[in-house]
Amino acid sequence: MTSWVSEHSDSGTLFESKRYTNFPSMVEDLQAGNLHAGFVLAPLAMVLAREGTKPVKIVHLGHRDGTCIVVGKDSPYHTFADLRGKRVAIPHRYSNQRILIERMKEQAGFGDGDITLIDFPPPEMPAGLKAGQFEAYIVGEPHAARAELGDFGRILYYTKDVWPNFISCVLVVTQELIDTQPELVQELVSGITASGEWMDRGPSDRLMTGLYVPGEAHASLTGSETPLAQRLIDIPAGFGTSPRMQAAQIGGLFYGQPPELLKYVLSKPPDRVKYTSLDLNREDFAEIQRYAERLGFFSKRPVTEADPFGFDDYCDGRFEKATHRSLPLRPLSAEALEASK
Amino acid sequence: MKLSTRILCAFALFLGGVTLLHGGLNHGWFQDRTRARLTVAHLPVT
Repeated sequence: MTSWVSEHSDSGTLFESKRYTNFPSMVEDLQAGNLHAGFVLAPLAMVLAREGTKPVKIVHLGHRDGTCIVVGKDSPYHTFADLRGKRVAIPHRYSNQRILIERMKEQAGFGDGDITLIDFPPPEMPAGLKAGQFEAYIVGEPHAARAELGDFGRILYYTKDVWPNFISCVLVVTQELIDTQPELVQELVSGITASGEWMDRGPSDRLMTGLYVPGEAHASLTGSETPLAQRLIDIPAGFGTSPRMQAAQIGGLFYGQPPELLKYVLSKPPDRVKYTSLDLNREDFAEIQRYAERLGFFSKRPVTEADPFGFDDYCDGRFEKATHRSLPLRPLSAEALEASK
Repeated sequence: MKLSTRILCAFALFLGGVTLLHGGLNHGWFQDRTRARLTVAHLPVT
């Protein structure tokens, strides 16, 4: 959203969105100095801050919840206890999804070997479940909804029900960027906060710049030759014009996923994923760190009294305290609203 | 100045002009040099 807003504005920083297919490639670019900002799994961000060659800091969250445990639609698994002895795919060994599975194993009284965890690329998880490569998977959206809409997967748990306000990915920036261009980090964090507030709280009678409802005339920057973030989007009739539906249209471009899929993710149910309360919270990270230490995430440089590691070593919350950023929204006429229904 | 030298100079001027025009179009029109840029990475997953 922030990239879309910046590309459709005449001033401010241009935030260019770059899509990766896996976390190791992104980490490699961050560590090589080719990349200075990205959304990374929370425990992986901690490991980078602790053991990485290029210091990084977590400056904001991207969202809360939005992760599900998925099983086969007609499978006999109806509670976590039913997964004893089964294979579960996780997005990365340093993911909060893995930590959630470990938490649930404890609650169900499972031993270490009662579940086999398999590292699997998130976009390929639905196909892996369908092919029988594992009995369940845990992943961030929209890859849980894909199995549901494909009619072969069923949601066993939403994180909102088993670990409310779950943190999956966090915004990480290099210390070098913080030191040299703090105003740029500020702009990014403020933009993400403003986008999240708009998606969850409205106003709902406004259209984001670059979006149009049926019947509205505009230039034809919709073709494949136009860069993603500079395109204009016609919202199809009947799709809806709430902020989340507008976000589904924009997100579809950046994710390379059908807007209908994102519409489902953002509305069924509406609290499946949240974009508010994105500030860094010490207690949340203390819990993640506790599990990360226990699971050996910091094995190369263990946390000891002589070599401590805590919230202030991997989080920098100063950018969350700044003033709110306004978004380029325009009023939606009653006729346009009616036409879009 | 000999005719061949004049033709050579005219051709060099022509080439220089095309190069400058091309560069100007690229940098002045198609790329906004006055705005800072930052690439933000993500996976297609929340």
